[in-house]
Amino acid sequence: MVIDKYFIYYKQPRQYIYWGENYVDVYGMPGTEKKGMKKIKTFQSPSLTDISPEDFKSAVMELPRIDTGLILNSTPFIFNIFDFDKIPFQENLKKDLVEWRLKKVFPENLGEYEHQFPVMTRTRVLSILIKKNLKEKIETLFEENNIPLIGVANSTVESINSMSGMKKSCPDFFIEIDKSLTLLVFMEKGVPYYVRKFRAGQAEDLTAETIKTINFVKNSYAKIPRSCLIVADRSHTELDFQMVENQLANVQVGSLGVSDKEKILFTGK
Amino acid sequence: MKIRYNIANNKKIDYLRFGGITLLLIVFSILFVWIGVNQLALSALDFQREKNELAGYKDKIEQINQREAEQNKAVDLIKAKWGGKRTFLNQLIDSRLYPYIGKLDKLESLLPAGVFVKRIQLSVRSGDTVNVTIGAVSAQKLLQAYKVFLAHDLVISNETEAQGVFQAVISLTLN
Repeated sequence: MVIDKYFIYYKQPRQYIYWGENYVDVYGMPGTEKKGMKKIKTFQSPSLTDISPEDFKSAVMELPRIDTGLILNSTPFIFNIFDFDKIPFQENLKKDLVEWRLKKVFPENLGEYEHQFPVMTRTRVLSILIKKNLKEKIETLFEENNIPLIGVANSTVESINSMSGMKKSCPDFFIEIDKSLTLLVFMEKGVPYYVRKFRAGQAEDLTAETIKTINFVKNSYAKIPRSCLIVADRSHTELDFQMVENQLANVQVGSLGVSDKEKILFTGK
Repeated sequence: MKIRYNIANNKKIDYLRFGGITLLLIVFSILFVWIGVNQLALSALDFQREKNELAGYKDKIEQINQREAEQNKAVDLIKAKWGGKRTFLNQLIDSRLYPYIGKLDKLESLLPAGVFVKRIQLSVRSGDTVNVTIGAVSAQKLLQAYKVFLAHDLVISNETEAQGVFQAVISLTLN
């Protein structure tokens, strides 16, 4: 709803939880805004997809029961980017159009998914899908443990928001790494035009897939990605970043370095 | 570009911010209405003032018209009092200025031999027009006189013959 988007403001969480593949980072005071948050706790935990109520209870036992925002990694999410000649302003027409296009590439029952499609430009939308039962499971787990969950977001979307804020220093693409989960997001002036998700445990696999994707983008989108930023939490990822950077340099892609996920998500740098 | 993505069911509205914005909107609306009403009131005041000025001018015009009517009445009274005397004096001036002798001299210079004036009527009121009864010893002489008078807007009223004298009543313009 338009009023909901532009007029109603929602409360900002007082603590954020980044729930990764096998670890959890908790961010909280001193800031009340997201950008002022500091990491206050980190612990090992299975991903929310696989966690049992007992494990969840013991994981969040020590967390304060205050308004909480959850940032999920992209494992349970499905991303698609669609370009149209023109996007209708009316929400129902927009929904029909995006779903019509989505059904061509995603044959599953859309009724089982929470589908949102934020408009990025006048002609481009980002379609984001997540299983409804997972979302319900997460909300139930938080509710049962008396943690008011007022925000559920996605780390890739938050990273895109941070990157688009970089303006001129925005890379041509970024690699988001969380253990074996890798996301490649190709952007032009901060607006994504291609997203690919894959799993790669080793640096060799990651670079091979990345180079393959770069070539695909060159051929399919007639764009030459020249700069990239690696977004990863180095304390939780045993990956040879130097090797990744060197391999990318061989295909004339300059790395802007490795940015800690914490910085990207909470400071936009 | 900022993607707003939050799929939580229990989003909490920031009532403080929402209230602040609503209050701001209400204040702006009130300000807008107040300015509008004020402008209307000022316009109404201007209109009333102009209306009063117009009414004042109307009164002044009526007064001027009334004064003019009174003055016209006075002029009429003066005219009525002095009108007869003025006409008489004008007639007198006109009569004094009318060139009787000149006209008679002109008429005499025009008359051919054998044609004579039997009766002449000169009047100040008729201006340059002179009514003349002429007699001629023959019809030919009369015609000769007509030819001369043609250049003077000749109008023949009557022609008679008695005892060998040809007579005509004519009018001429002598200036």
